[in-house]
Amino acid sequence: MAANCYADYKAKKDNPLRLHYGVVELRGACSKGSAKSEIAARLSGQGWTLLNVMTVFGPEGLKQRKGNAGRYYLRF
Amino acid sequence: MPDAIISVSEARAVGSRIITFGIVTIVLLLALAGTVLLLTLPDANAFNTQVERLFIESDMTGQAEIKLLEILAQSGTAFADTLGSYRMVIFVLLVFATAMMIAALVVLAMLVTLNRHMAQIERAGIQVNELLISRDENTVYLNNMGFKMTPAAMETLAVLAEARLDDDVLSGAEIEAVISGRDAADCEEAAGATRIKRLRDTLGNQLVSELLVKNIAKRGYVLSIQKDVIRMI
Repeated sequence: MAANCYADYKAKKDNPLRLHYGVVELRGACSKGSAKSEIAARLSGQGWTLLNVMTVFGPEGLKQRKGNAGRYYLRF
Repeated sequence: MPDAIISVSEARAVGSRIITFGIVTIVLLLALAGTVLLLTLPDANAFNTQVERLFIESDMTGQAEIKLLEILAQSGTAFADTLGSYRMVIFVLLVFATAMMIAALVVLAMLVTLNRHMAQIERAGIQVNELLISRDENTVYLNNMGFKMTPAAMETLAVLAEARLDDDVLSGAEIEAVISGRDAADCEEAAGATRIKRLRDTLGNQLVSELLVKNIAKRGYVLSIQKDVIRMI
């Protein structure tokens, strides 16, 4: 059901502190609550810690966030 | 009314107790200061958490903005490292301060003790710590000061020194008896007293000789010095 459901989030890595803003495509439920655990699980595989999920949106929001997400655009 | 007498040994015990108490107080105070200092210095992560909070609360999502935040965190971390070295310096200084304060306290205590000692010495007048009788040179050395003596005075002094070594007090007649070789019963008290007078005159300074050759009423004459300072050549 989660097709075309996306979320943007903020994440960090410690020592030294590194931050990023990214956009992911959700595979699970299309809600902020479930997106949180899903993204956290996917990020931790790469050593990142999820700080917060900002919004959950459809394909129409992708374009405006592409620039800011940069290399973290749909990376995880 | 309480007893106003304080003995010297008692005062010394009180002094050492004060020193121990003072040293313990100093060490405790500085240890406390060090602990407080260590605890209040911000740790390296304080900057990172601040930057992290800033990142979460604001809607800075641009890449350049995020890069800027990262740099902010890094400079904070660098500053925290500097603080670490400061901490080291502060600790070295604290240790020095402790050592200095303890040294100052000990020196202070020593000064007090020395003052008390000095007061005692002043009260005692002169302190003879060496009496050297040299028969060959007809000289007596008091604290390394040489006094030329007549042979008769030398004789009297030697007799007194020997008596002092035996813890004896000699009467005038007994002194005369030892020197002249006659029986004490045949000697006059006045003859011995004259010898003592001549000895004091030879020593010159009335005051010093009064201090050195003491007269115990009804018993006789004795050198008022410690036994162990007498040496004869």
